[in-house]
Amino acid sequence: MEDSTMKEGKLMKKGKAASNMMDRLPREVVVHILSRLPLPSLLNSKLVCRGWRTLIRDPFFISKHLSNLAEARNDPSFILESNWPIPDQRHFIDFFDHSEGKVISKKVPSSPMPMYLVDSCNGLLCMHDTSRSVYICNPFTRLYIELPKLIKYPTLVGNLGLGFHQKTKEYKVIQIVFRRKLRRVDSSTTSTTSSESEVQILTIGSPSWREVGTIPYRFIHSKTKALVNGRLHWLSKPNKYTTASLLVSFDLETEQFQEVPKPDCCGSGRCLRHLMVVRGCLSAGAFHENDERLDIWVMKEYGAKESWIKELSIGRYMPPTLTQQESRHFIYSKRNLFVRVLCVLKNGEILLEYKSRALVIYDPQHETFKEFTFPEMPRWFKIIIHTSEQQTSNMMEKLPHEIILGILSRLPSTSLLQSMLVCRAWRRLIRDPLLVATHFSHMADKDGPSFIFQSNRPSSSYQLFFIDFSDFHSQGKVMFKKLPNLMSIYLVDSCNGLLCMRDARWIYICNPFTRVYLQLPKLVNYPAQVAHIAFGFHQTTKHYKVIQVVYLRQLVLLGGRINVATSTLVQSQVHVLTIGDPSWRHIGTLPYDLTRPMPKALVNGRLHWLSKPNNDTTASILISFDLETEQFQEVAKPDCCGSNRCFHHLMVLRGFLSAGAYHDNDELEVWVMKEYGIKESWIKEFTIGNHLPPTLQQNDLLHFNMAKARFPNSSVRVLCILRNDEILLEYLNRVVVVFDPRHGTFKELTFDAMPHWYKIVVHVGSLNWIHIPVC
Amino acid sequence: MGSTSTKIKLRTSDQKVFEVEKAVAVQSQTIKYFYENGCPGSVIHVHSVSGDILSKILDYCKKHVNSAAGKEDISPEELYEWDTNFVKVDQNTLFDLILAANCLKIESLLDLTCQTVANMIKGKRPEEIRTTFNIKNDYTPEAEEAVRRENKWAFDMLGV
Repeated sequence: MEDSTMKEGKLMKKGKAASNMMDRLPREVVVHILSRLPLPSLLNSKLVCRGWRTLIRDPFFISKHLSNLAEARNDPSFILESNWPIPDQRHFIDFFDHSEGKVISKKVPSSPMPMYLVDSCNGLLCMHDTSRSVYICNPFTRLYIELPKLIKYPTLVGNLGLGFHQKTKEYKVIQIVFRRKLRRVDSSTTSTTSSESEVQILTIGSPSWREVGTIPYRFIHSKTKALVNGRLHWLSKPNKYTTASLLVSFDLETEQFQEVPKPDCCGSGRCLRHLMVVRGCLSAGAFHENDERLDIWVMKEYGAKESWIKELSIGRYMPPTLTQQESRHFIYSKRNLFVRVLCVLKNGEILLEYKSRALVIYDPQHETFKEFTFPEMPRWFKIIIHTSEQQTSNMMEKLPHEIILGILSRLPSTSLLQSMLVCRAWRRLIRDPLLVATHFSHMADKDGPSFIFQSNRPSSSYQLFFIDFSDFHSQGKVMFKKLPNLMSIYLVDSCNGLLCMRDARWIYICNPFTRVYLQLPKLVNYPAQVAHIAFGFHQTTKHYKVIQVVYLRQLVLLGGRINVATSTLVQSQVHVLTIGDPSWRHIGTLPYDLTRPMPKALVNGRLHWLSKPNNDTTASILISFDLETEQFQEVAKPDCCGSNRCFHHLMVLRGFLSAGAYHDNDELEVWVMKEYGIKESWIKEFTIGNHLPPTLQQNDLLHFNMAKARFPNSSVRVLCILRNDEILLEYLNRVVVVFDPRHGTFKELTFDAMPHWYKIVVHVGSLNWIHIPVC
Repeated sequence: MGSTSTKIKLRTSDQKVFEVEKAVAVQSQTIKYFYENGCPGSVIHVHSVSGDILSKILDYCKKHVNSAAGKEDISPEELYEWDTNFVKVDQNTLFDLILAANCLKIESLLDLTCQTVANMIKGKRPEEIRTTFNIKNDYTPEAEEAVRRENKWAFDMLGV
């Protein structure tokens, strides 16, 4: 206890000095320094200061640390697992400072569920749980990845091996399933002496296992696995009836199995007992003659049979733990066969494991044995060499924060919302205003537009739908999705991914994706008036404003009944609310009728409507409202549209103020003002012929004909132009049609669960909210 | 266009040296900056990029420079197709390309590669995303359930 507080104190001091050092030294140099630390010190150093913590979490740092540990051929570390008497106990043993006579042993936090250790590679463990799910995990960062199940054998775990290939940088899990053939005793089939094992591979990151064939080997003990030269190695035997052992390798890149030559001494007998890696070379522990001595063989040159050399020979030894605790067992198995070489330490000493019970350090110079124990050392264990990398191969963590942000900001809103569940870091990122703003700008200028539908008929459901054309151009796909139920409010307008909605009493701003609402202040003077509402945003002022135009109806008593005066004079009162302000501002009256307005168009920081000066004229005027100066102004129309009401509706096409217009015939003309405010720049871009969508023909011919009789073809509205120059049209709030101007063809779009009647507005699906400065 | 014949020498992290046409190399704003502010003719060290990745990146720059200069008769559709094939690489290479594009400041390549990763995420369930990128689910079951409930409708969408 005393010791540990001392250490902490020292660390704190060191930390303070180091943080100065960090200020003085370039970051790379600090990385160089820290990356040479053994894992426990490194984890401690995280506590030093936040700068270090950030540095240590840096993916570049992690790979540097790993390569430093590997290159320096420091003494290795191990994971020791024990499931008895207490299940799921793991210890980390680090021989990093062994040369200084110190070995660190630390208890590893237990996993979320009981797990069995299978293999280790690059600091990652391969484990499986009781339900046969296989995991890759990092015991230090406690990150777990559950691997896809092997669908063919859901309840079976074969022999597992985890490997990493330097060149492909891929982690692969290999699973060898030994297929037991059930033979009927009376059947004539002769029992085959050959065995077959099925090989399944999973590249980490890919969604499923691949079957790569069968191999004619019987046992592939994961206990004897060794990873050298980008290949996994096992000791195996061709069939059950032979004592000969085979050395089999599996290339992690080509996925081919191959036999590796063994030394001559080990020609036919099963003298090689286990594999390990000694100073980077494939090595084996072997027993010959009387099994008294364990020989260590090393293949100095990979693949060359002649390069196998017997490095040393270890005599018999009985660790005290074994003799004390388990003498009965020990006497039973007198032979030396239960010894396994774990590794050769830097100082030439050899770490041995005895029967999963004891660890022994053998000094070949003096031929002495010393049992190695540590506090809380379990009696039975499984031990695996474990390079202490402290991070999983989380691909996303390889990338800087701003790049992940860039990637996520390209996702459609629904995918983005779902991605919140991936991990906490992503959730934080997705809530970041910077991401929301970037996401909004990506969504606003992506390939295809998106819309919000609201259906109020047949039933007053107020149901919102989201329709997205972003994949329409590339994949011909349109997403049509029901949005979560909102309150019973009507869709009014959309701007920057926010909706303006209303019910009988209140006006709201809301984001249908995040379902955040803002209830706007009431316009106290006119509590019950029907008003026209528009919602806009100004780039420079960054203000959202709601404009409410109240049309004053004069009520007159006519024969004892209250009637609306049929005055020819139109007067509308204009009220503006800057979002964030406590109340509406009355900015004057407007000599235009906006009681039956078509959807507004927001161009150049101005809202635009079509209106008429009074009830007696058929002429339409194009008026604009500047969201900054709050001034109304008339906008020039093309000459063709001088006095009559040929302009039918407004929209924004490719950023230009545009209008749908009718002239002599029934064709809908689309006019675009190429240069804002210049009358001469109005150009008739194309005309759309008469078309009656099939749905309308079937369901609603009567209504349609009536409408048609009154306003020729006026039931069509241009919604927008798609990237491929096709045009989206809306008919009578009933049908959406894609019009191809090159071929003059129409195609009706229908979706499952599409409502019969709806209101549709162009809407950028985003997680935006009013405080986020979008551009 | 006389300057296009000028070559710039680049040295990668694994000490490979590339001799690249100036027009191609300056697609990278970083290289451009070093070229314009360093002594001409000297070798520019691209520390954080390996030879394999740099050669891929130079392919990309070459293709785009040539198509922009009209040296290569390639339609925008064909170039799009070429780009699509260019990013059909394993995840590691893709991430290396992103890091390199970021560090070399090649905006269009960064956009292309980031979009590719975004497409890998798009429409996938969180579980699939975690597997694809080896991301550990660090939510407690309660927290996960809460987030799931919060956006339940979005998850329902994926079920369709």
